[in-house]
Amino acid sequence: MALIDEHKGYEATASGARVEDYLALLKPRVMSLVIFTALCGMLVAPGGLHPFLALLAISCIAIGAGASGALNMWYDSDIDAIMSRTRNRPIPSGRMSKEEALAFGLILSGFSVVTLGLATNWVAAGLLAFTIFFYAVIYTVWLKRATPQNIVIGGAAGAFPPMVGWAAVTGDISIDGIALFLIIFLWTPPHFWALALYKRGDYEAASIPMLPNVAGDRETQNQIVIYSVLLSLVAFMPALTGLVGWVYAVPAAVLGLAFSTLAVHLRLAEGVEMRKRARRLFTFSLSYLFVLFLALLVDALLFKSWGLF
Amino acid sequence: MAAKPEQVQTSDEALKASRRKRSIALAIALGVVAIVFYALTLVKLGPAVFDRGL
Repeated sequence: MALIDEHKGYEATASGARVEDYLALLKPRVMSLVIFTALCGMLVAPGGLHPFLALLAISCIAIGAGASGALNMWYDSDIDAIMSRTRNRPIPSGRMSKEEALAFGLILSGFSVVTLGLATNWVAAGLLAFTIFFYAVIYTVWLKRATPQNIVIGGAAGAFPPMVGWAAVTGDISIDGIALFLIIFLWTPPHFWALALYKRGDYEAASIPMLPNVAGDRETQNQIVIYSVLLSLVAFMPALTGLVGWVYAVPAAVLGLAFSTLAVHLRLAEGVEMRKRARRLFTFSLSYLFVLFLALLVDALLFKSWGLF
Repeated sequence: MAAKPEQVQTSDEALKASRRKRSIALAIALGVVAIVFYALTLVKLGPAVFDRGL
């Protein structure tokens, strides 16, 4: 007798999922960015943490982010089946049931929050719990399908990890932690709107109200310029508050100028050329965030750990 | 019209193999959690963990 008699779309039974499918639910690529930004938040924060606790805290933040990814895939399996980028995810491809993904997401959420609280402090744990709630409920369930501003508000979920990392060390939320939050918060809209500009058809097919399909390309290009300029300015906050020095400020200025220039460049284009420039901005925005946080890390480590400046 | 998602072909053997892999992964994960909590207790309490009246 067959263990599973039939497969109909994503109504698979529990037994078909592979280990790789569970890992895919955690959105490993998003997780790697979360690990990196949380690590930066943790290393630039004043004070220290036992290396084992720091490793455990980073793992908890990564698992919490993965859990919210699993909850997102549980809720969004219907639209994931429509979009080319997402249709081979475990649920729409029929390898896993929705219930399995929900249970996996909830268990990992609880585990990551409680373990972070026990390992570091309950401010960090509370922030992590709020981050998961924000991404899974406020963004995925509520805003994503309801408003073209979904990315702006939902982007906050992705901006919390460095703040959680900071809180894990200090036990509080300071202006520097908020500055790190603001950088990612303002980076998210131009990053995703650039993607939406050249993947517009996908979002339309899935009826997700992204800014280009609701307000048009021109308005999206304008918003990208506004957010890019704001981001370039806010990126100086860590230097202005004295958290870091010129090792961070110089790359921040150069990167901010490049980001804003690419955004203006995109604003001046139409049609195929616009999509090409949108893709270029999207790719650049990934490097932007990575290099900016790397500069933050290097500056803070040079200053804090080795006292070079 | 976009192509249909890749569907899974499942035979008894493939299902058994994936279940076995999942069971092994779960066992490893539980083992790691036990070790992590043991180490966490030692790190948080330090030598005091051994200092108790019996």
